[in-house]
Amino acid sequence: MKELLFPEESSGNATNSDLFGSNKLPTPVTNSLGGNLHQLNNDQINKLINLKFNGQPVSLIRQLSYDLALKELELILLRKEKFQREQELLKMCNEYGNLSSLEIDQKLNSLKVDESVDNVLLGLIEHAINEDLKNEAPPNTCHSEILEEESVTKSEPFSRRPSRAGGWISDWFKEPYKRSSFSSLGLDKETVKTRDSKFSYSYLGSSLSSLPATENTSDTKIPVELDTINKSTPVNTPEFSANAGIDKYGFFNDMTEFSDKNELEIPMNKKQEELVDDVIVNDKPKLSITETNSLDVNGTTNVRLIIPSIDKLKKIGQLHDAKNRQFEFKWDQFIKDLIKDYHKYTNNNVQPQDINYHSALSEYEIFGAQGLNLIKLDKSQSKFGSNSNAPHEVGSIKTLRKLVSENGIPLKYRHDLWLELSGAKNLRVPGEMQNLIKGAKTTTNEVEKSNIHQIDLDLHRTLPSNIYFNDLVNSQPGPNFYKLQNVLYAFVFYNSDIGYSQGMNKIVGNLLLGDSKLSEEDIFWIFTAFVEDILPKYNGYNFFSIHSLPVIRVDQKIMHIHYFPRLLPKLNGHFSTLNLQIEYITLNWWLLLFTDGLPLEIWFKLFDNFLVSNVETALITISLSLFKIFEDCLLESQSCNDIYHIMKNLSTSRLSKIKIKYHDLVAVNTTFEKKVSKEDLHTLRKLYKD
Amino acid sequence: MSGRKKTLLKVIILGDSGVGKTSLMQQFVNNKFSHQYKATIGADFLTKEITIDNNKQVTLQIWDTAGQERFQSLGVAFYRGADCCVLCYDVTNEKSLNNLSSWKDEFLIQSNVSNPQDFPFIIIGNKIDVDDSKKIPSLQKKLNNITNNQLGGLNYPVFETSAKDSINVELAFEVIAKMALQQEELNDANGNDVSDDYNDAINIHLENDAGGCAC
Repeated sequence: MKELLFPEESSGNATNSDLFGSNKLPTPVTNSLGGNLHQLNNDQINKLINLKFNGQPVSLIRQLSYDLALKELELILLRKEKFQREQELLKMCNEYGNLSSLEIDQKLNSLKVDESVDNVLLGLIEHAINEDLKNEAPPNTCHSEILEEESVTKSEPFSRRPSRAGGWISDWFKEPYKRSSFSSLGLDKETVKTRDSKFSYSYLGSSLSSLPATENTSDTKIPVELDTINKSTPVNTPEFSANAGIDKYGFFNDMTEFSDKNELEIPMNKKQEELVDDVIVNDKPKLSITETNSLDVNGTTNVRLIIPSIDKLKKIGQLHDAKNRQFEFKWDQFIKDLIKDYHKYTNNNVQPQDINYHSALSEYEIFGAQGLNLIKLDKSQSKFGSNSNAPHEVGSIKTLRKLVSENGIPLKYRHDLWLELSGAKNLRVPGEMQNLIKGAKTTTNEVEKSNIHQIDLDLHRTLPSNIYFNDLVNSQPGPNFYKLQNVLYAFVFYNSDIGYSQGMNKIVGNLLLGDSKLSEEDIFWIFTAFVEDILPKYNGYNFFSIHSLPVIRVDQKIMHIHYFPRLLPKLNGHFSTLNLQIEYITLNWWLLLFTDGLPLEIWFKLFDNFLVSNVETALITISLSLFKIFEDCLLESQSCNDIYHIMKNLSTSRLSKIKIKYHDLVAVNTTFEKKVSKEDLHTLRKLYKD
Repeated sequence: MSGRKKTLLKVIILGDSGVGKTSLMQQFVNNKFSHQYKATIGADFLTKEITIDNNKQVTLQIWDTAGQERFQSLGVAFYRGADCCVLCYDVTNEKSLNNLSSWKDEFLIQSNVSNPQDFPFIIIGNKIDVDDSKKIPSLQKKLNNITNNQLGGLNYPVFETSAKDSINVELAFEVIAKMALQQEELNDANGNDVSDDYNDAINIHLENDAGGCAC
């Protein structure tokens, strides 16, 4: 049986090349390929026909054709599934383009299978044997099936051959996903936190979707017979593949409620920016699903369209990496210098080469709350004569603010700097949080009890589209749900005069997604210090105090009546004609500190800025800046309804195509900052009080 | 065709946190229910055009407000110019029922309506889809106590709804629209001042306005 029974079948498969070039199916099937009838000699085949098919070769042919047809069917299904995965990945690359080129490469490589068919098969068999030896009950039946398939075909009659056609192929497809994150995922979600495991994140969705399917197959210990293939569970059940899109922060991105998206944000110089803009603008349509979704009858994908886009995505990734490295380098340098200065300042005789730069940041308080220690440090430096009388303008605190406003705090310093700049490092009492939580849970104080009640009501309504808060796959609260509860409970018990204000839930929720190195205790102290010392006070009352609301409304009025006409005259005229109240939009922004509608990536950077700037005026200037960014779009709209929709949802509004970019926001904000001073604001407050 | 002016009616939904205000609004406007609404902070609104009394087209602007008590003082910003107020409670939460009258009082103080005595309110008891065992014991009696109280009780139409299963939601809002329309016409007749900055419903541009209005 040297000739293939249906050569056109396999050649059909072979023409199929996909995005990752990994889908080259075995062609031609070599003689050494195990597990097939062609391995038997004629006598054996005749024996088989006589024994199992009553001597009728036609029955065997019929059986074989039937098997082939089923295999083809399953291949089509698998191909289709893989296509969908590709689509999902592309969508992610497109929407959350700040995947670095490294990540994209890793992904591509993990899918690459450039060995020959025989090697692949041998590898799989070897793997299956080893797996089988290691585990009494094999975790994945696919492996054991291959093993059985191998032994059975050689010794037993054909009809008993357990085939689950394409089993090894589907296994091959699943393999990269399993390798990357399967074991760590879901089983212990605590360990799969944000950012530090970026790579495995992108597979989160896919892995989740294959998880239940694997469970299903492992239930059926007996290999599936060929004729039951139609009834066997598909690798991807529809309800799970619907959940396949989860971004790196854990947001389900196919949900209508989904409001936090990552930006494709590449602050860079003109030339690069043009290039990137070119890439983004010109290639977006090519990446859109409608165009690439051309699945032909055989289920093969029309992938040629996608490949150039992937290259460009890689290019974006490279630019993004380069820019980030540049920012990080600046920070490295800045922090290294500060540590050196600090050692000189404390005069502890450590030689520069002996300084441990890794631990210094967490060991000492070099920056202090809001970076104020830097002023002392600068002064000391001039005392040591290295920087003679550096004026405040060029001092380290100025550099810090500049660096933060340029691109936020890099992830690698986020942990240390959030703790330090917020003042949490100073404030924290280790272990205290547990007492506070206990106190909150057992309080008899009515006000505190009502706060706790409100928190409980809001927990389920905080980031409901994020898997770490609301695990839709397993219909249970995610790990951050409980962390959020603890942080808020502790907060209301610690600050019973401020209590719980709706909006805190979202802010703490966002902070919990900031850095996996930050524990709930860290977040509690960061949030507490932030609320107590960094958020503005109105007449001595905390920003979140109930007594501050009237002043907040006065500020809103000042923003609308005083600053809007001066800084955004065109928009002001337009809004006046429409009789639109911006307070309906901005009040929400303020109470939520812009957590609603701003992409998480930008919000973190905004929070970084809050840590080193005057939030009292920033609330006004950031609000105005957001209007400025959307100005053209808003001027075009003649409907208040639309304007409210756009500004309430910002980047996620279906009515606008504007993507907020951090550097745009900062640029506009910087110009507005010069026009809105704290002193003016305080004077205006008296004027607008009534 | 005789030109009929499209009327914009502003409706405020009030009630304790978690009684289902957002769900009611979403069910009525978008015919959908989700377990994943975010807590409303400040206020939010949606609009829907409906036809009442067979021929009258109105646009309902429905304001969903924050239920947390501390935000009640923000009502000034949102209540003004309201044509009807919906007081919501949760049939499984007795406190939310008892709080109805304070929500009403707060509304009248902050909205500054011209006719506090006969301003249209309606009461909605939401979540009737839940198991009977979870409902407030002898709910009807307690509700009667609240609505029939001689001394300024809440003698208003009551609807029991389920935003989840879409029971009575449409019906309730139809009544709301009619009541709001009456109030609006009353205001028009009295020539009540609506020119104040923060006073009227937000003036929504209606595309058909130009053609439709011949008065």
